[in-house]
Amino acid sequence: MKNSTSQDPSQSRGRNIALGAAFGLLIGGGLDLILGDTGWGLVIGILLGALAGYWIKFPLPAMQYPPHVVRRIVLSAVLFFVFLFGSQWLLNQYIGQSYQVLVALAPSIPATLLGLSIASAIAHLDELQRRIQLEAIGIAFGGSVIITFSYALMIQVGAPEVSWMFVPLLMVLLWGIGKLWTMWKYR
Amino acid sequence: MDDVEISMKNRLKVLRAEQNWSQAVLAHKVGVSRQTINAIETGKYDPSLPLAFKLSKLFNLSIEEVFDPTDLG
Repeated sequence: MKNSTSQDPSQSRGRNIALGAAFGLLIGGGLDLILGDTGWGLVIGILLGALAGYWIKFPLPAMQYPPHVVRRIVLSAVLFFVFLFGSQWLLNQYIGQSYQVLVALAPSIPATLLGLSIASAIAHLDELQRRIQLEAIGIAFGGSVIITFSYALMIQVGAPEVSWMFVPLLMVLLWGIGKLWTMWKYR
Repeated sequence: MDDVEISMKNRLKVLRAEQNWSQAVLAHKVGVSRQTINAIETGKYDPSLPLAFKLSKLFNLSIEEVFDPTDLG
């Protein structure tokens, strides 16, 4: 029988490190944006992500998205970051008060496109990969509810209020952790 | 720790070996990922009915000849 399950360990480790660093970049960049653009979030995010990728011993299976779906996700993500940084920059300039709400909400449009693209991509996966995504999204939803609810209770006893931007970032972080867990389960 | 449900036994690995196919080749033939074939073979995942039909049809066997449900009780 042909060798079918083995994969070059150094190749899979390199891929795991790259994926971990990319995920760390996303989370660290988000933290930077929320906490005031210090740059440390990016650096720490990439380092921790790469370290986590190095620590993961099994090869992370690639989700089989059709190329046109990947292009849609990449385009939506690029638009999202352009709108996000553009709106932040504009809000720091002098713009009329009547436009401020529109400018502040502008990133929600590409964010919606990105969400729809991801949903479409998940619909194109095979049955096990859809199950992995469903379980990961369940973990992200449940974890976010527990953490945000617990923090809301802590605010009542003096914990500092934090930006709502932490909620989607937390959901993305838990989605990534959930995917890792379910991928390991079905490895 | 393993919280994956108890799965059906199956002969997929043996049948695949008889054809000298890799997991990737079999996955391509039935339109799923290699990971899915691996999870079925290792008993971590039970396929849907359409996929089970596809797999058994590929080997010209009935579903019962590929998947053994006796352990399910």
